[in-house]
Amino acid sequence: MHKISNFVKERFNHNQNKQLLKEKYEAKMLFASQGGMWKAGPELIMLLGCCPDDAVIIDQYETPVNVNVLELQKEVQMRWQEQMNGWLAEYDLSNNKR
Amino acid sequence: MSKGCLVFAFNNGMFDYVRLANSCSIRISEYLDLPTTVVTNETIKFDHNFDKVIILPEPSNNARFFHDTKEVGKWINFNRCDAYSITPYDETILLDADYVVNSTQLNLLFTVNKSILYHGHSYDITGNTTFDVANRFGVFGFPMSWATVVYFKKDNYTTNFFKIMQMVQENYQHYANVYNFSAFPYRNDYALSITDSISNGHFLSNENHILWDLAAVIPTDKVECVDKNSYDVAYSTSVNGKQLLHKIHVANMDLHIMGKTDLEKIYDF
Repeated sequence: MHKISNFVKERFNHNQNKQLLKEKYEAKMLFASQGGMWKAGPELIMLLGCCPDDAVIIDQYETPVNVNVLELQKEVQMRWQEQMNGWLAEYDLSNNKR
Repeated sequence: MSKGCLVFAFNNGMFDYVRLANSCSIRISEYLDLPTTVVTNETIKFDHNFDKVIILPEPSNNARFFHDTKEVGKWINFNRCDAYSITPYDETILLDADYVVNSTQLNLLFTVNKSILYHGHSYDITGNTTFDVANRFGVFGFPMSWATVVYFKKDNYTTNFFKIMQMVQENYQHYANVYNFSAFPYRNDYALSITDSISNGHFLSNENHILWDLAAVIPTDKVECVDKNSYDVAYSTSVNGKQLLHKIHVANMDLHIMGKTDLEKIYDF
């Protein structure tokens, strides 16, 4: 019984750590470029993939910004990949603590 | 354009805010590569890391209950609205001394291209308290803007913003009646929230909000330093009348540590 409650406790800690990592890395996905604020992620990558070379898109402050799509796409992908790698590394580390 | 951080530190006899501010400034230099100016009321007698020390007469103060020491103490917080005229920098991050800089995240504020920015939402990193109450104030649940981290640059918008904040402070009892909250103790968070609404034409807006949320540790949780940039936060939950202890690990992430005794331990002075 004691073992089960301990397991439940550890499990709960892991879940909270996972939630905290999400908050942390979501903040790290933010960056400024071409006069707008962006959040790197699949949504923006997909959107930019559908746009012509120059497009007006809405930034995180809901401001329309005229952007060079290829340039922004490159930046978004780089930031997203970088932060996802960091996220995975930290997640694995916290997983090992269980 | 000069950039820097501004920290207000008036000792109240319970906590050494000047030392807290100094530890804060060491971390600011390390992570953000920025100078720090401290605003205080007494000459600093130890070797410090501040770029500038501005000595002002002690402003008016309140009394408040400190949850970690379980005592009522002086809370000297009346001159935040003067930050605009006090700061020696063109672009300033105004920080509370209990904000632990543990990453380069705040440097992003200089790239946002806004006149003023502050957090519109805070959360308890343990997830143990919802913070719904803390993120709103007054009987009508007006949304809170947090004065813990305020980025501003010197321009017309910010000049007016701080003038409004000064006006709110001077007529605090009136606003307490309008928004239906207790006028004592005076809270900069409330004054900032009301100013946010007034400066946006009495509309609620996210225009001046920092895009990520303010991570907070409440005074009842215990923070232990693992190494220079990581901490363990211990907290307890009650399940079927039993107290269960939990721990989470925080690394390379800024924290608003509300319990000052924990801060003194972390900074180890």
